[in-house]
Amino acid sequence: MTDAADDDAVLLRRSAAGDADAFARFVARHRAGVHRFATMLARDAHDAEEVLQQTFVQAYRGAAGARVDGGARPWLLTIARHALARLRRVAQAGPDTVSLEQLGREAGFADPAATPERVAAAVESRQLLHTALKALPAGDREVLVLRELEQLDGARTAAVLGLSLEAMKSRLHRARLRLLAEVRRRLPAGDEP
Amino acid sequence: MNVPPGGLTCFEVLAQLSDLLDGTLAAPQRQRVELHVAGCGDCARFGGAVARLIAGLRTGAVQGEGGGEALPGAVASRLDAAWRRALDPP
Repeated sequence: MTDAADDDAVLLRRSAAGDADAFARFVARHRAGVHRFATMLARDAHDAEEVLQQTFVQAYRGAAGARVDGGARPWLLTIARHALARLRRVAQAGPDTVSLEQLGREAGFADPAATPERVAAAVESRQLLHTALKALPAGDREVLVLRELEQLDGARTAAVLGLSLEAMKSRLHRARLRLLAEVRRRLPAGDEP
Repeated sequence: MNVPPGGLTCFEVLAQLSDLLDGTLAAPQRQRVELHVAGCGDCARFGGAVARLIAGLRTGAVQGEGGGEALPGAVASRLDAAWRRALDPP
């Protein structure tokens, strides 16, 4: 059972009242997760660290008004996502116009050589999976990191992304197919599934 | 004319594959998709491949550089300094 004193909402309330020790505990609890999220989405380690710092500075400033029922991670990742967007200084991607059929083909749908076993063997390589993820468009990477790596549930993932649940599910499905296509491209010669 | 397994085409199954794997399909539709997958080698194989991909992501096979459970000490120190500066601006 979670000690009430350790609850995110309690720590943030104390932080807002000027209790620096409470905020230090809050930071210690969440900093690795925010850093992982930023590292997967930022251009480089420098930007990731910048996002990490901006996230917790803003979290401290916004502690009094934070709504973190069920945990502060989605709230923090939303702040981190906005910090990333400011750093990238790029326009939002346009609508995804590639057909689902084409995405499926590129991912190996209807390819007799695309066996689950060969995909499983490929994704055992942390490096291969990491490189494949990094090759995806930012929107695809973002939904995969939130849903699969951070393992937020569907509703929280949608909330962080500012999407409806249905729109998030559609983006997630297409992102999975694109990632599978990237994994296939990175298999050693002669081992393409 | 041949009726495809479950009364669904492979493309219809492809479109619902993530919902099937995430357990978010309503029961009647899930049964139709499962029936198709049970009778279609392509869809069974591809569904298995996507499932293994998701499992690979979820079992922590991938992390960002330096993005494991522990934050590098220097990064943690600079983070600490940053929010404490915000706490006590000069």
